[in-house]
Amino acid sequence: MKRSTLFIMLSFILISSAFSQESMFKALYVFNFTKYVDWNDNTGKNFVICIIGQSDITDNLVRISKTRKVNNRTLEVKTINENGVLSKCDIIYVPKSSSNELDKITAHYKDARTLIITEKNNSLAKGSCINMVSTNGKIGFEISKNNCGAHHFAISEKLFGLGTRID
Amino acid sequence: MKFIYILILILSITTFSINAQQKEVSKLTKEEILKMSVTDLADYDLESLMQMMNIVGASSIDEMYKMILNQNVTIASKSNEKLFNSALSTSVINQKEIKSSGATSIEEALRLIPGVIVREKTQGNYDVQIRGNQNILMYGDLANAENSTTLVMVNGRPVFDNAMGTTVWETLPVSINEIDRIEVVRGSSSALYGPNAVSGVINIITENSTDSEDEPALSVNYQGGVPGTHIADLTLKKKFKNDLSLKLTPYYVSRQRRSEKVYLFDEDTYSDIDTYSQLYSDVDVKGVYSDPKKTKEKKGVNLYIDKALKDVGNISLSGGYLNSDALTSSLKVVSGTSYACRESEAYYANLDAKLYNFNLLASINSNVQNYDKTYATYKVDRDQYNLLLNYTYNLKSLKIRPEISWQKSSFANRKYTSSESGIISGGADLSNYAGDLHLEYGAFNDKLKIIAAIRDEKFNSPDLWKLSWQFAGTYNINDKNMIRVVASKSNQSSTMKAGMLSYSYSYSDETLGDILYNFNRKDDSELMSMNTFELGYRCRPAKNILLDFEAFYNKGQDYGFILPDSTAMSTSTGVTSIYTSYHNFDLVSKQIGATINCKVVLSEKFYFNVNATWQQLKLDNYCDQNLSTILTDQMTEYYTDYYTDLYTGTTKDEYSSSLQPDSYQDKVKNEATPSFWGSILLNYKPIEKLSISAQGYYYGKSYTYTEYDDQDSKYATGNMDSKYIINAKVNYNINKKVSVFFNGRNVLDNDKREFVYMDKIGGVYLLGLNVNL
Repeated sequence: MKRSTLFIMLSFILISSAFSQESMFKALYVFNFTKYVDWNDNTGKNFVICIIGQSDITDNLVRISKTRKVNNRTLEVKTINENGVLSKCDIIYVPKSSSNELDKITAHYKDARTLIITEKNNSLAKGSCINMVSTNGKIGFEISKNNCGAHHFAISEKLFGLGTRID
Repeated sequence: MKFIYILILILSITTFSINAQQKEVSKLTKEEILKMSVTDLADYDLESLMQMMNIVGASSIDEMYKMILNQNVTIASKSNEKLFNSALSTSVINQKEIKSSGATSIEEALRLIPGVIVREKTQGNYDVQIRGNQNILMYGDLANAENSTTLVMVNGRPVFDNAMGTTVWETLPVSINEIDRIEVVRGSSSALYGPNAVSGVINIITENSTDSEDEPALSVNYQGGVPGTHIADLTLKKKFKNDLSLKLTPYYVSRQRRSEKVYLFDEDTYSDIDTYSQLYSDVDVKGVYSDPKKTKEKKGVNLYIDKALKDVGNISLSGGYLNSDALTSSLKVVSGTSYACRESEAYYANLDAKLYNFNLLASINSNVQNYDKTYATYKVDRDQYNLLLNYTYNLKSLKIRPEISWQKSSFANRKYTSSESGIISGGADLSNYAGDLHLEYGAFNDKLKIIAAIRDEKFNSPDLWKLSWQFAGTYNINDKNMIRVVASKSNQSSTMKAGMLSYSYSYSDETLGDILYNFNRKDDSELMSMNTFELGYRCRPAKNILLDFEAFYNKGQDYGFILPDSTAMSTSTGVTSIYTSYHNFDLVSKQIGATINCKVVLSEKFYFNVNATWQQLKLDNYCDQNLSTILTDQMTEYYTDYYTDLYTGTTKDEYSSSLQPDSYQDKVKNEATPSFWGSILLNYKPIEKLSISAQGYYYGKSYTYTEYDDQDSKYATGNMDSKYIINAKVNYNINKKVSVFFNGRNVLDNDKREFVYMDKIGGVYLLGLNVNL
């Protein structure tokens, strides 16, 4: 009994403290998306990326934020707990594990200049602007011009070319 | 102004540096990308990152297919080919599979291979059988319960022990972490690999040092835990600019068991060493069993030198030293117990030169082997030489490979016995030379392949020629379905028993008085041989699934054992003389069976492998007699004459009998091999840094036949229960260079015995560390 408890605890600790190569690329994609969007601001305020719930990309984005800026704005990474208060964000990232929050998020940020990025199938139909997909170990993304437009963003045509445009 | 110049200079250098660092993405390798940190990668634009993702991501699933489903093998035809197209029943496990499974030894890794039965005698010491088919005589000492018909090789160099006619696993000079892959052929393959490839061939191939990076590479592996287990090795690699590579691999293994007891036949109990010592005061029990918990200690070092010759080939030279101790099963019970402490010290050198279409293999292994430290004459100096040369012609669709080879084993025990009367009479040689021809013909764009191999081999003792052959055909119905058929004949090599033993000794028996026991060497002994017939089918119903099915029929003949020729009693001296020699029997073994293996890669994160084997073994012309019963019959015959003459007062000087058994049975079931066994391996990598492997291994009931079997005994029974074993390994990569792991072998602590009269084998729980610099 003691051995099995030790085994389970060890596995749990290792799983919970780990993050993947895939999550690193997802964080890099998110950071790079900012370069293709006209943020149309010079506020000098921090550029805030909000992540709903726990995600492996958080640590990677925090690392990037220490050495990189967006539009000359300091990059800030915030974690918003599920069912937590939704604050002002430039990007909101909804991991697959928090995708049941998506309806609430799209409703909250309707018309706001907030780029919604998701990682679950069919999320564009629910109002997400960019949805990251993993096929055979390769990360790609699908993008909705209409959904981005609804949030008043002008997106570079190059980004539409790199991803899979659905409208 | 100066400030502006300096600024421009700094900016230029910085820009240049960034550009220099930002190697063209398409030229980056997966390893180079994976070495970059997230902040390094943040310098790249999205398009470059997506290109990198293609390199990293695409290769992960493709590599998984390649690693698990589309492996290459060389063992089936001595040339590189896809496993799917292999004509023989072939399996391979590679380094990644071995490491992720957590196998702590080569023998344990073989539990991943379909059709292989691996049973642990004491912690870290095993008997390994391909398709079983052993213990055919249903009688004999413990050596007869072990595998004697599989050829094991390290980098193509045979490591079969001709002295005892088996593989002494602890003397294999290789550590688990330096293995690149293990290739296995099930079924007779002497025509390709020479004698002893009867039930199959196992080739252990070490990692090629030319694969190392330009920089010196150091890797350190350690795992340790309970009961008393330490497994450590170190690899140092260096590749020089002139295509010369060096690799040095020292290693150390120490294993312990939970018990300190050994089984004593006369007392029918597992006894501690003190009691054993008191009961057998003529044996240095305490000296031999100075650490009765230690089951294995193995320390050695290997040096590999590889030189690639552009447009010519490559030369590999390796050499090493190994010292091993093992507490394992005795070959023959000589000191009251089923256990034996073995010891070996060996040096070896191996040359493998592939130049143009020639392949030259030359090796020497110099070994001091003590098969049982309680018995002086079991210590032998053994020098083994192997030489092989072949040439491959490629004539359009026909491949022709002629080969010549020579092997010699020299034994000497003069240094260790007081006289020339040891079991090999001081010294002897076993040697054989052979010529063989391998033909491979492909038709219809290689959809149809026909393979023929024939080998003729001359042995010095017994003095005879043996012919082995193999015919195989494969037909690729399409890319996803392949059928194959194999027919082959193989033979064992000569061993001490069959070819060179000659000795006599005297002893006293309470009933019979003085006895003179003679073993006479025979030059006309036959070597055991086996015919194999196989049908196979491989299919790939989907890109991620590989199914492999094989049905086999093995027919073995020319088995032999030491039996009495005659017995005589001198009425003047009262001495009974027993004359024995190596007898061949008309016994024929017939085994039928089937193996199925299924490998599925569900995603880059998860794959599993299931295999199962069923078999049935029956004997024809089986004689239910043995040395003891034949001696009794012979003595009964002449004692009848003696007492008759005594009654009439006409006794002769000598009475003798050479009565031999004449009663034989057909279709006798041999249950030494379980009728069913198999394994399942699950490998899950939920995230890049974490991998979890679980393996289940099961074998059914069996019966081990020995001369020690006693129905009235508590322990001396051949009944071996079925057993399941669950292994698990959880590995976590802290970073690119360091990983830690938990490794549980038999985690549920199922402590049933796996080998007759040996230890209960329970769980082993280890924590480990891998460092790659």
